[in-house]
Amino acid sequence: MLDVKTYDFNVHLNPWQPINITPRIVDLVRSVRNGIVNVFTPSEDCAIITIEYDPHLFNDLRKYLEEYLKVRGIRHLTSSILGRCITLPIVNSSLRLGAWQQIILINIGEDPKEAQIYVTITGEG
Amino acid sequence: MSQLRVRVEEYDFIIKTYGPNGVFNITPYINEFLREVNASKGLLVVECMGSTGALLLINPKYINEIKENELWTLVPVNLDWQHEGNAYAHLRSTVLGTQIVLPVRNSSLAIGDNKLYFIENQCYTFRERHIYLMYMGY
Repeated sequence: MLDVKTYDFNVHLNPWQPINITPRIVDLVRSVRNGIVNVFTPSEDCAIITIEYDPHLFNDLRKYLEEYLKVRGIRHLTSSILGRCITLPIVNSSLRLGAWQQIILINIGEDPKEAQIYVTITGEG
Repeated sequence: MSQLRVRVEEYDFIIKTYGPNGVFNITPYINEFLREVNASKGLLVVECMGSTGALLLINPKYINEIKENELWTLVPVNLDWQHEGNAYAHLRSTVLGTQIVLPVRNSSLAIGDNKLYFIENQCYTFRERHIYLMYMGY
């Protein structure tokens, strides 16, 4: 029987602060055998991405958005380019992420944010 | 709404890739899975495991231009990146995405003239890439 479970929480983020929310999502999907999980943030200037958790790589991401894209006139599309949500398969109560692949919430705005996170899990219990 | 019971079906497969800028049409493998499980209507989540590959839904008529030019422009290989070696591959993966949710109708992807491609951003030959499918529907 399919079930739908929701978990909502807030995370405080400073500008350009990445937060690794993978452990929290991994913990939440344990309650479902097979299904899908959607992680979404409605918060302005926030994005949910998958990327290796490496401070150097976050600096590269910032440089890419603030320098490479900005000089090409792309300023307001950045959170859409990165995306506000991800949807992943849940197989045998776990995610299928690569060795370095993490789910990261990031604030790409100039101000601190209280980001809302909505996690929706649908699947077989 | 249909009174049939919604079900969940999963499948995974491996493709051998080369890159960078290798593009691999994975649509046939996906449609074969949808036919096998007789997926009449629902949603399919597709995920490519790893932090340097990417999925791209696009009309095949654009794929050569994307492969030859646009991927290089999207994220340049050298921009004094701090992450050593393959920062461009990670950034491409993050920007293009490693997962997508697609509609299913009559045991195939309802994606019009588009195809779903896996993009190999790494400089590799015969790299094994895992693709995970999760179908939810009737």
